[in-house]
Amino acid sequence: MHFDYLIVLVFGAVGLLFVLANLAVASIVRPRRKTAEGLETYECGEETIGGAWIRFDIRYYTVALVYVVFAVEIAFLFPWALVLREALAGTGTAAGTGIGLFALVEGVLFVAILFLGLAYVWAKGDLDWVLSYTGVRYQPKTAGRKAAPLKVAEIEAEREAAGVQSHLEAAHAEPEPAEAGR
Amino acid sequence: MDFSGITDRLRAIGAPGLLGVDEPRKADPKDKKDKGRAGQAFVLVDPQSLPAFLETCRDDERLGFELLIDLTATDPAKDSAELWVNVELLSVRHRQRLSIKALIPKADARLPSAVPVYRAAQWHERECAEMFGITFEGHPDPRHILLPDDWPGFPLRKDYEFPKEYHGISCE
Amino acid sequence: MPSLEHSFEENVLTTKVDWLINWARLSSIWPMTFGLACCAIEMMAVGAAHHDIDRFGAGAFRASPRQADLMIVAGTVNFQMAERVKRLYDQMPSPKYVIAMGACATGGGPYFKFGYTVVKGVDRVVPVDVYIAGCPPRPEALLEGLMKLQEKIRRSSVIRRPARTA
Repeated sequence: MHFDYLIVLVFGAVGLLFVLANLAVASIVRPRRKTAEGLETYECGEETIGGAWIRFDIRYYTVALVYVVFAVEIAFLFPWALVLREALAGTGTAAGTGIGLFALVEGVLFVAILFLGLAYVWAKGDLDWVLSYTGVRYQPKTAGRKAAPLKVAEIEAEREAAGVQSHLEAAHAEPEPAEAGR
Repeated sequence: MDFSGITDRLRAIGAPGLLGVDEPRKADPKDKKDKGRAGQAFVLVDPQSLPAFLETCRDDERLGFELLIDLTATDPAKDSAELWVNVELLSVRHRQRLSIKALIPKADARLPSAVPVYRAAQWHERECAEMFGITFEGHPDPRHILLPDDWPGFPLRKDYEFPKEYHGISCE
Repeated sequence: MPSLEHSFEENVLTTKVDWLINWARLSSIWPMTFGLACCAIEMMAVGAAHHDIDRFGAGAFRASPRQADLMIVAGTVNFQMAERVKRLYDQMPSPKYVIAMGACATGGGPYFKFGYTVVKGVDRVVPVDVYIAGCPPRPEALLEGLMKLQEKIRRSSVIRRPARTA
């Protein structure tokens, strides 16, 4: 019988034993001092408000889904690349079978199909993290402030004579430009 | 404009609630007891017309005070019957500042809120309310800002006594 | 399985086991980030490269009290913060230690006379193991406080019965 992968089993068993032994030793050495306040849910020092199971953002799910698809694609491309290299170089098990061109075309087709999916997701906007607000644009409030009537005519005349005008007054003096549309 | 220019303008447009002007002055040589007054020049305003006065300061083109810099209060002495409410304004386009003072009785410390005129006054008025016990009528959100919600007393008044303990922790 | 704490008489074997357990505990004291005021800057300096706290095994600052052994109260404690300090101390698992760093946490500091919302020393809220003086203490002082705490842990008895004081 061939136990080629026995070493893997031993490795896994030793790893599991390491973890369990540490937990066992810790549980017999540590003190038992549980208090009611200590068992309360952690909320950065505050008293807890509401439950912890909240509705999470759908963007996390979308990103994870797209990632899984492309990670699996890469996992499939690794053995494909090795076989292709062997076929083209003429060494190994794939040599001489004439599979080189077929494998190349099939691999490229595989990537192209998945790329179509990526293009769809991209164009649909599912890859954008910051969502754009297409409906609202900031409109500064220019109406509503009534200017106080100037009662002293000499001050007004003096100002015009000096030609002094602050840039804010110049902006208020011009008519508002028409909205050109979005 | 300097301070006298601002006060002339305020008088010219008839700013509501303007009671007087107080400027620093040197000691009077003829009167030995008069030591003069150092410090800031300020404008004295009736507290009930304070929001209208601030609106005039903001909207007039020559005054043009766009920013409320500060809104605090002072308790001048333990036996004083009044609290002072001090407001600082700044005009960026005309590069001028104005200090305003309103006197309110300590026993009935209330005045209308400046929040409809300057939104920046929101937090300043919350702090004045919790530290001096001044009620700002019409404030949209009058809760404590620095102190705990159930803190007894008004700490910045001169007759404040420190509490002995709070929530079981000794204050001594 | 019940705890073996304090269950054996003192002999050469339990002393060695205790030495091993205490050595493991003092070489990996993981602090909880609890910088409240200016002392936090000195605590950050201790965590940085020059006065390295990681060489003491204490470089893993945990944000959650569930994973921390040590709470370094670095800074002024207000009454509002004191409730949170107490709650977080309760949520740390045993064995846990507290270092009061700086004058404010030790005894109120410069706010002792007129600070009406300052708790005059964090030991009015949680039990403190080591006090460090300074305003703020130098990073080397915090490291010496940590070494004093390590001395305290080295002397403690885990599985042997604690020595009775006369």
